[in-house]
Amino acid sequence: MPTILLQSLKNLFTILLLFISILTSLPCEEVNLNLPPNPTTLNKIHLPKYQTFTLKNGLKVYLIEDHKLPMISYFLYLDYMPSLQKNKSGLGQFTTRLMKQGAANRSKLQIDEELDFMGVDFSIEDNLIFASSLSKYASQSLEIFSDIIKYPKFDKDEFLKVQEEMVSDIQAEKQNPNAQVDNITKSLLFPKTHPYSETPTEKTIKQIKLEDCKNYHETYFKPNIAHFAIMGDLKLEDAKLLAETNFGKWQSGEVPKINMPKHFEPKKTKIYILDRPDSVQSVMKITHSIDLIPGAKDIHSAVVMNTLLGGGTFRLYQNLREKKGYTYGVYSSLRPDRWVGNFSVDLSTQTAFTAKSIEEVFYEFNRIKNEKVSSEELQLVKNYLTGQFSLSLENPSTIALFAIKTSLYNLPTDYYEKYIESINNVTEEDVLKAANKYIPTNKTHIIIVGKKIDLKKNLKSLKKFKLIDLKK
Amino acid sequence: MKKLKFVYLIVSIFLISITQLQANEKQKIKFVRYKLPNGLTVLLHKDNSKPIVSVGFMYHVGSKDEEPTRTGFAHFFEHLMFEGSKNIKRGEFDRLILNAGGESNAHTTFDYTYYEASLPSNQLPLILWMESERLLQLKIDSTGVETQRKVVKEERRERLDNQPYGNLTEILFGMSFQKHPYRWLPIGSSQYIDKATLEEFEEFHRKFYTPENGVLVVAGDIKIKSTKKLIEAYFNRIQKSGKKLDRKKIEEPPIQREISKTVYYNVEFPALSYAFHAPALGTDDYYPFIFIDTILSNGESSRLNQNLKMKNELIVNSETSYNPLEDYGLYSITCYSKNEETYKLISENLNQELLKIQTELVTDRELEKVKNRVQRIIFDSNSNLSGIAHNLAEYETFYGNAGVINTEYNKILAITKEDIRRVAKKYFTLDKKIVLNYLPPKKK
Repeated sequence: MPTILLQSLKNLFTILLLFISILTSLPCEEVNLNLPPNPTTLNKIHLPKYQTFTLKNGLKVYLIEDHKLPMISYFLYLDYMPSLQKNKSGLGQFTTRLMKQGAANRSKLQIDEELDFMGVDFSIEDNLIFASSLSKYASQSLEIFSDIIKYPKFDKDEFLKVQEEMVSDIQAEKQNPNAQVDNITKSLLFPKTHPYSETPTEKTIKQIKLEDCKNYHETYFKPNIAHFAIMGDLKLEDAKLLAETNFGKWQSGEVPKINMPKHFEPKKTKIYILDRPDSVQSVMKITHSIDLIPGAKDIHSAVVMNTLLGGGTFRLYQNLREKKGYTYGVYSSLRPDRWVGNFSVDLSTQTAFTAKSIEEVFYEFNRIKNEKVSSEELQLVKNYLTGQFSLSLENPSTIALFAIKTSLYNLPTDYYEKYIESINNVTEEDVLKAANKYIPTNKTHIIIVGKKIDLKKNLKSLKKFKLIDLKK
Repeated sequence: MKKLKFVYLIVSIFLISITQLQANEKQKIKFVRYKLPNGLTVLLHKDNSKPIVSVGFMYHVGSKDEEPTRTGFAHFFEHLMFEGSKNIKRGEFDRLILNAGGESNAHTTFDYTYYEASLPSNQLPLILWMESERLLQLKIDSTGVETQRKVVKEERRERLDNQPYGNLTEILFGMSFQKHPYRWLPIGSSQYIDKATLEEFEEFHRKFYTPENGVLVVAGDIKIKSTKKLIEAYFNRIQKSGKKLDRKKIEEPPIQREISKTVYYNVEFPALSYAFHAPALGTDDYYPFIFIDTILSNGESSRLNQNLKMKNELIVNSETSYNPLEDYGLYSITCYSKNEETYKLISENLNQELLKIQTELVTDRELEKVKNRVQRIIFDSNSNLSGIAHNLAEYETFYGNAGVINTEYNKILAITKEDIRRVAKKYFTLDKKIVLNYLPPKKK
């Protein structure tokens, strides 16, 4: 008896102590209102866990549980690289769009009506298919989702409608300066022998036949190259049952692999102008291809370098917007890729500031390549990236992407667990090295869509770059 | 908007407003509401599942509070709120947020200006201090004003003037409102952006940026008690303004007849737009009108898409936009067609659809479909902390009651087929509408 009493006294004492320490930990100390407050302590960030299993046909399934809302999302990624489509460019988009226009025992109208009825958001484009629905419709919506992937009808009438729609879409983009810049980028960054260079035109869309779509689907839509993520209000047993029921009978098969050159050395820097006579701004992209694969040894250095240059509100934004007022926003981006990655800076500015804006972007290029970043500024970038990483974890699809990328790129299993640590290990020298490797200032492309007649005068001050007129 | 590129000022209002409805107790959004002695309303929503926090500050001031000779002023001012304060030097605002690993942004609508930030939750004191600083002692100088004047004009060019159909909405609002300040968009016009002075901005801050005119929301990984203490520490130092804002509501007469206009710009497809006055935010007709818009145009199986595009192949595409604003609403329908010759047929078909919904009851299945779709839009909007923070702030500002976030869904469930027909009949006055022909240049 006495020991028990003693024990409970001890417990009481511990509780009291705890209580006191909670009281004292409240921020009741004097606050200095003239200085930014310091952060409080933060618990270590843990990545939410996911579960994974593989069906007999090779389909890899990932489950990310999230029970906050009665919603379920599905995401299917097919890991293939299509061959060149040449005079049938746009075949991939065409095929996937057509797949949704009737599958198994449902017509297009039935699919549309049922998906809308269940409140499902659905999208399919090339090798990505996405759907999200109220969880009460989890299995019905997955049935349609999987039918579209497995048993598209390829109806002749629907084929003609999709063809017409795609032609309209291409026509609609003709006056859109941002779409024009993107199309020019593809043709300049990659040689004609590379699938990344291809842009669908009215002509190529009209050359596509129904048979081509059937073949495309037959060739690439196989479970053994597919990654399927389920996110939301669901348990593992239910996920297994859903996956097995809907994808268990999906036939596996060999998917052709193509060999492609990995990286293309850009030529001497030039300015490419496409005339858009009624433009009130120059829409610009400064861009080149880079040799950077996901999971590369120096990827974290490259990420830190790119962030410092033009991520968030860093250097480019501070200089061109906050100091000069040339633009509403300017950002740089760095995209790793298994074949050919790319780097770009995007901005829009009025015609009169075009040359000056280019000069300032190159000023920032040269600064990051020649001057070592201060340890203070480097720390700022690291703090920013660390915070952004934890913010990104709020969305369950972040975890799904981590899971799929880990498998696709054969990354170490703790790659994302160690992400913040890896970012924090980047040194000033690493940043300098990455800048010199990924920003070859004499080998990049400056693309401008704008009012040519005024641009030519404005760009006279930039004699060092040759001007190339692009034709529509 | 300060830097968010992809959310368009006006279109976003629709999604934001029809949101915050909740299905049942499980999804109920719990929050604590109180007022500081200076009149600032505070809302706290606790969710400790992830170590992050979203902070929103909504000021009840937008472009409708502007003078006709200073359009774009409220939005221009929003940019200046990032300039600094007595204790935050120019350029430091962004830097402090970056250093904290967070992101901050803002946007201005016809009726409100909203500032938001998301950060790791241990940085909550910082953002609260910063928000209190720019409310208490914002500091702007002529360098800041001149720089942001340029930035705002570039923003207008980038979003509107350099985009195909970029000014279509602006023209529609201009035609639909004759007297009310809704006749111009929050982005305003460059000639008035040029005229705004530093003194006018200081006066604007004194008048509208007061604790009584604001709602502060903190959502995420917090403890209620210590967060209250933090808020007291930073915001109690701000004095009540003591003045009641004199908000005259400008009466807009109903559209009396059909008003039409033809404009020519370099676009690929001719566009035909209709506009009607529509229910204001939160009025009795507001919820049924959301249903009407959903039935007409939300999803592939919606009526306009099925009948005008798929069945009759008259149009390339169509889109609608319902703007439920504080004083009035505006609804517009835009059809893009291959050529102008089909305009007559498009009008006939469009009129038929608008007539049908005001004479025939929708089917049971259609009604259930709308309810499902609206429910999912609600879930989406509450699927993250910044969405919840925004919704709470908006309800508090415009309904005086953030609790609507948990009760509105019942209103949605109660909507009947008769409500839909009645409201459609009231607003789709086919002989009194706005018609805009937005055409490519005439062929030579």
